[in-house]
Amino acid sequence: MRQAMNRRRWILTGAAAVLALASAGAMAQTNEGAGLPSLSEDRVLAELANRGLDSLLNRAFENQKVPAGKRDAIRTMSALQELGNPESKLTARQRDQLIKRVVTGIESALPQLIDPRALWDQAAVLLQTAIMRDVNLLEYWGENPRTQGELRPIVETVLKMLEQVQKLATEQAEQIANTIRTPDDPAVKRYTAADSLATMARYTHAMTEYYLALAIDAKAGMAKRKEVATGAIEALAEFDNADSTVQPEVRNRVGKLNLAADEYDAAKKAFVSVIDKTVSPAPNFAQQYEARYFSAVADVLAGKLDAAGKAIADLRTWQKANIPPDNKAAAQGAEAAAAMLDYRLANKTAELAENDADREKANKRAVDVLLALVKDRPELRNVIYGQLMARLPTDADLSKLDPLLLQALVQKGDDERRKEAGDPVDAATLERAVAAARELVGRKDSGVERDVIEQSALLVPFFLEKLDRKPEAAAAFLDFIDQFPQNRQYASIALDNARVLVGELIRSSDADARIQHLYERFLTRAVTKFNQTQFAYEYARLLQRDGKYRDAIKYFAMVAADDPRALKADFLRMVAMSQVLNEGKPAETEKTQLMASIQSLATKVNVAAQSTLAAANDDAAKRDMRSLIVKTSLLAASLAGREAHDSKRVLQLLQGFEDSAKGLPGENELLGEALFLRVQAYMDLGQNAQATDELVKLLAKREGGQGANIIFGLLQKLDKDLDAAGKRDDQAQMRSLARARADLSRYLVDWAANNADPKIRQYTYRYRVFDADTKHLAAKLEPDAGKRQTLLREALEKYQSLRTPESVAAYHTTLAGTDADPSYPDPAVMLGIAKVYFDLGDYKSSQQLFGQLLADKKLGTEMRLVDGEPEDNAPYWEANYKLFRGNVELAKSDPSYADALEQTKKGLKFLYIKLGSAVGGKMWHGEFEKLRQEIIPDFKVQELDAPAPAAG
Amino acid sequence: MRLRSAKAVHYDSGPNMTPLVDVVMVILIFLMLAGSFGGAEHFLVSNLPLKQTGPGSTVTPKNFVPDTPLEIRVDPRGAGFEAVAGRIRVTDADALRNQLETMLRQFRDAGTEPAKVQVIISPNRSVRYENLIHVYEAALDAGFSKVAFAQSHG
Repeated sequence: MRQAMNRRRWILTGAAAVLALASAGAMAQTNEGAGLPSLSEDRVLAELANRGLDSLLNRAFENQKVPAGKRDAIRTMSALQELGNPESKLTARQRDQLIKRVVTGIESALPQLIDPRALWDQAAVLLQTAIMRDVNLLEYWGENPRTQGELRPIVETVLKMLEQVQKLATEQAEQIANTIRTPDDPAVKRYTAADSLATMARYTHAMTEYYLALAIDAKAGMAKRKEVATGAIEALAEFDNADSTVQPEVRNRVGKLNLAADEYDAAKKAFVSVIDKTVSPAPNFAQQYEARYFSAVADVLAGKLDAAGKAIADLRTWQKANIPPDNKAAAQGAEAAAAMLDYRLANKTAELAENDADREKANKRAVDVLLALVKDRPELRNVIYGQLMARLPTDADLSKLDPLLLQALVQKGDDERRKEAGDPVDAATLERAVAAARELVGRKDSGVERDVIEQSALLVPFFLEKLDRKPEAAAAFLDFIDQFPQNRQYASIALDNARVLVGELIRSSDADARIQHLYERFLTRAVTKFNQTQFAYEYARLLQRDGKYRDAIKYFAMVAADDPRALKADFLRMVAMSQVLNEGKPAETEKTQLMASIQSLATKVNVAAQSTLAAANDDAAKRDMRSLIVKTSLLAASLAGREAHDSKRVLQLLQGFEDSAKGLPGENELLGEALFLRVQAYMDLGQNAQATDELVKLLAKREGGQGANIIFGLLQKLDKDLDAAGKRDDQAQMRSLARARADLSRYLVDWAANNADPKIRQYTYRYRVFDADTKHLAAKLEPDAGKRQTLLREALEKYQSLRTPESVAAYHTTLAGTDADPSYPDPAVMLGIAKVYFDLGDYKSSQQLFGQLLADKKLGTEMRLVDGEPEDNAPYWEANYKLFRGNVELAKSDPSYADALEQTKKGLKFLYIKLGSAVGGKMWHGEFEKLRQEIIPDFKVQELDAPAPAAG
Repeated sequence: MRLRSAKAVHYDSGPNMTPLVDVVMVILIFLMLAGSFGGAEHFLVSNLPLKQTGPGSTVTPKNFVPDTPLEIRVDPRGAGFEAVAGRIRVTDADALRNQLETMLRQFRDAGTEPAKVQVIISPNRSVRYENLIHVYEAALDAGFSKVAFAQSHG
């Protein structure tokens, strides 16, 4: 009876049959579950793992204090379960992780896997999900160590599982056989199933050993390959007969095993038996195709190039004749596979070439075949790119590469980029990908598809970020937005990533000017190109800082009403409008509109600030609102004076200002500004006495130091307004301000000199210097030449009076606590005198004084630090310029100054070589340029940065 | 009144030595600075064509044009540095040496003897000594013979 039962009729079709069994197995497994309470503890754990109930499984581990090794085994079973679950939606990475878990845990799991049917199903799943794709790659494309390295442990795992299936199923069959008493015993059916399973496992094991042979490196492990192939061929001999119903598959597999073992003649013999249909059952179309294809592969691998060429041609002819014309997909697939054979033949030809020219020619043909194939079959792109990369020299000139090869490099970089954090990254691959992507972008006008260009451009910053070159990455994201603004989807991605990177960089400890520049670039694009108004406030501040007041007005207006900075935005908008009026020379219509807008905004800000002030609970908030109200008043008063010329309104707006500003941050500066406006208003109304009284009245209320600070604030304000008028070249305004300063400074000196407080009297000397300065400036701006001479001489007298012994003694009292040299005359007075001499045309005298100051380094150097920041040192440049100009003028009328002229030319060249266009700073560069063009016109600044001439 | 005291160059102090650096490096820096102070003093005495006629009242010759030093400002940039010397702005020593060489050649072509050009290295307080040495050597390698240090800034 047992023998009868062993009459096997298999319905096996190789791996496909194995896969077909998977679903039946899954059904059987579910049906066989007899309920957890009826199982032993180990079976409970196994069942939990098999059913994929992870949370319950972990709890059971804890409750039962399951050892770590056993937990691994059970988790392996869980992983197998998950892999086989048709409902699960695993990502490629998750699947790979599960496969790794199975591979590493299979040894400890196998003793727990006691259901042969379930194990069979799981082996089938592994074959399907983890093996067949790589086997396919190796069969069609040839050796690849990385793929082989990944494949081998999985194949070994499946082989172990199949051995276990075979063992368990055989034991099960024998146990059942011993219970059978009659031919119609119901156990017969179960026996047959178990016995068939054992046979299928044996067959599949032999077929799978081919995959193991393929996974062994052909060069280093040929002996092992041959051993595995020989064992498999021997094991398959059992099935190499008509009874097995799988003889065509067995012959094809034997042929492939011989191919793997470099036994090409034997391989051909096996394939020919299928091609000639001397096997039973008769091979179907797929089996015949497989035999013909790998028969050609045998010729290629054997190096029989002519025979291989013919075999490939025959294959194409056969394909054409036998593939139904309406099955285009099959025809295209077969043609792609034939193209792969073309590639392998070209590859082999290159390998066997006897000289470099032939080798290069064959290599080129191989690459051309691949490039054509990737165009026809883009879904094979990753595989083909991998092959192309293997054929590309590491130092290939990217500018000469085919765009597809560049794309391959970019693709490889992207694979590297997608690695998880913590995985090692190949920086060289990423660097090459950056270069390739940039090369592609550079060819945007050379017929490369736009989408490829844009994708490559967008990948550049991602690669740079992976390389941890964050500032470059942020810049590249922003560059992308500039280069491809029409691709809104990609540009949005670029902007979002730039925002994150710039944010990280700003928070990092080494944020510098470059990061600030990136931040500003980001803001500009976020607001102007993407209308991200949440950044409108910051952007408007930038514009205001850069003097783009009209644009700042526009973007302050975009700040949302519910933004916490909305009130400040309104205030700053008002300030920007005032700045347009002050420096922008608006047309009359615009001026009227701006004035109206300012008035409206001032009311709005005032009302909102008063309301917020009333509701504010903490001191800081109250102070902020008071500050806003005070500054708004100040702005309104300033505009009333400057633009509306309504001095009475100025005085009215500033009533009670001192009380409002009391205790606020920057109180002295605020008072200084208010004082200035008030004094200006009184002077405009012709009330100079009131102006002075106002000043004195305020100073009387203050301590000496505070008073000095207020005066300093006032003088600063005067200077700023003079500078602003100078930039506008508003001579009338400059004259008016200079005269006002000159008039006012006299009172200042008197007030300080006659003050009862010795601390205030101490400032008299400084006010006298200032008084001389104001007289000098007012004289310089006088349009009438005669009057100008008179006023200049008056200014000179003022300066000269500061050189008397009494004045020098007063000067010394101002030096306490400083490191200035008391034996040296006051440099400010020397400079003032030198400048007056210069303006009077007395160049000999001015040359002496400028020379002394510069030689003794009393004016510093080209740059000076103001609040820790370097800026142009205008007095230094003025002295240098006037010294040079004086020498030039002297040389025109006095030959004894010829050498001074030569030294001046040399000195001027030195400065240009050293500083280039920075000579003179912003204020004096124009004068230096005129001087250069006059005395050394052949000296070309732009040629200084040209490469040095070759030596010799 | 509008005059502000410019940041004066001092020859009596070097870069901040408070950060923990190894002893050898400190000694090296000390020797380097001591050497350059000597050079600077010599320069200050011999190169200025000034005649002292009393405290604070020097008289300059009628052909006087002031020499201006070439300041190399050195600031930290991560583990490296950024050196700014007039129109030169670089972040590595080789580039600095090359550009200083070019500048020195241009000085010579324009009639200024390189030996007259005073180079002053002005380091940021937190710049690494190693980088400072690179800058110092770059200036010497470029052909400048008078290289001094200013007080550290920042």
